[in-house]
Amino acid sequence: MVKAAPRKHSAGALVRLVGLGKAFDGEVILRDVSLTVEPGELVGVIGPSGCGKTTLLKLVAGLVAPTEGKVEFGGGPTRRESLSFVFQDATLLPWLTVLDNVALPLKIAGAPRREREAKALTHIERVGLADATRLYPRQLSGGMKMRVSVARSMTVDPTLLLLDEPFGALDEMTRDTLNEELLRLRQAARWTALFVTHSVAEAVFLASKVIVLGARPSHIAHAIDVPLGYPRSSATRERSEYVERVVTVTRALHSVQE
Amino acid sequence: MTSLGDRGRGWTSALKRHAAGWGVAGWPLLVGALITASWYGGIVAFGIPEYQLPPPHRIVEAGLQEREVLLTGAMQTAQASLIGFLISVAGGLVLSILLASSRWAYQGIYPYVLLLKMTPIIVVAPIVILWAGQGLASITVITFLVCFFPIVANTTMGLRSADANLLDLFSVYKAKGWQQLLWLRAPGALPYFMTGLRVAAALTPIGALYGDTVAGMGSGADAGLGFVVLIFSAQFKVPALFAAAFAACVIGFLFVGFVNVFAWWVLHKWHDAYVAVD
Ligand SMILES: Nc1ncnc2c1ncn2[C@@H]1O[C@H](COP(=O)(O)OP(=O)(O)O)[C@@H](O)[C@H]1O
Ligand SMILES: [Mg+2]
Repeated sequence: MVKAAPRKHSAGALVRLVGLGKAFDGEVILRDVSLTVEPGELVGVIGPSGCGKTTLLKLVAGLVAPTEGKVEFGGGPTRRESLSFVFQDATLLPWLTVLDNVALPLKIAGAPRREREAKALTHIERVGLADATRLYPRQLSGGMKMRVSVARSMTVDPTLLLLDEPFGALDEMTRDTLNEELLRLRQAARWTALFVTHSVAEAVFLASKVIVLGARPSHIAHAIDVPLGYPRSSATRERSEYVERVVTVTRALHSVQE
Repeated sequence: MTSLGDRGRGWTSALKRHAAGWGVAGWPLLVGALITASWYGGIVAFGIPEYQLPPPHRIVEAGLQEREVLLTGAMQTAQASLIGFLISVAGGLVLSILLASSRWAYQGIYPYVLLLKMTPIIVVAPIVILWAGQGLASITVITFLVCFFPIVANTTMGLRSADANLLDLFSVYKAKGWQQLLWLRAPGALPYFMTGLRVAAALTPIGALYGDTVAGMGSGADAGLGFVVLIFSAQFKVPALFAAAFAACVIGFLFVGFVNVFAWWVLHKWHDAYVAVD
């Protein structure tokens, strides 16, 4: 089920952005962004280029400090430790094999070699790269690299997954496939996600709620629920609710760009 | 691959393979033969005397005649080069890590590294000799001073230029400072370090030879190649002088060659620039 209204303050919230604002060198990029993400939600963020989508994710990840407001991590075990970030580019270490790249977060956390490799292998298999374990990033296609990046983000068993235009650089076919795979992974692992995209179709396909950011200084202009439920598959793209939401989000996006 | 259905292309690719085989050994040999021929030709045509340009066979003769002096000289120079080079690699790495460890260290120390670099070795050498005396110690220090800077400059730049997204990645997973240095900055700096190493390797014999000419001493077994050159030139042994130049060339070639192979071995698996080379 999908919860409505971004400003609703429910006790079970996973992350709550409260009046979040960010300025770089005095120039206000984000203003008064308030958003509650419930456990299990997939919140898609879409907006004009340069409006501050990446900055928003980095604020949540703690990579950038807010100039106003705050990011609260909900009651329960969820703190920033159980958070993963998938960057726009695959952001792999070129000198490590696929296996070592995927195992990196565990290595940083101090897991013993045997344990982290076993775990990394499981996640590599889940993204269908079992044959590429020993390859280096330069030997991989763009799609394979993103799969490695996704597998790496899964190794820490994240409660909250942040994705910044993860498949934006890929061709549409590969992107659709990867989106379907991502949702399949979610069925198994049940993380919550906040993701940025510039594709309306991708936003609606993945999200339970789509946030449309307005032009700068950006704020939440629209919050649109996507009542499609999970699991979803390629057949979902043919459902009328899907098509309707694509139209709604497209209109919302046009309205903020004027 | 030669495809049966396309004889024309198969033929050209066979020709190309043949040409590639030529490129490794054939072309250099051919050019070498041409140079030798025009060398002899020039001497005959313009009547160049031996004390200006000796013919190649006289150089070989002189090389064989003076082989003991040349060999011990070359060994001396190679030794000074190697020690100076290794010290500058070790010292360069330590200083680079220090420089990259904090903005404060970089801004405070780097200007002085630059200052050291800007001071010509010709001016520094007498001071070095004043402190370390004539002989191997001074020659090694002079070699060190010559190849230290390229290593520090390149490695420091490499350590400081880690990709911003990769740094964010390490932050997201709460990496500690040493983890970031060891697993991100250091491997990322390797190609830069190798570049510094190659420049230093090319400079090393020059440093050692120059050190020889100002701090070298003794004769026979104690003299480095630079000192040998001084003696030959004073004695007007021109063919032997050319042979000494050739010996110095071999040392330089070995140094650069070894570093190139080392760089390839370390980097070829993941670094594109080292994947396709030779
Ligand atoms: N570290 C930074 N310093 C200064 N300005 C920044 C920084 N990061 C982002 N910006 C600026 O903030 C704005 C929003 O950037 P970003 O969040 O990357 O936008 P988006 O991801 O929506 O395209 C841009 O104008 C960008 O130049
Ligand atoms: Mg962005």
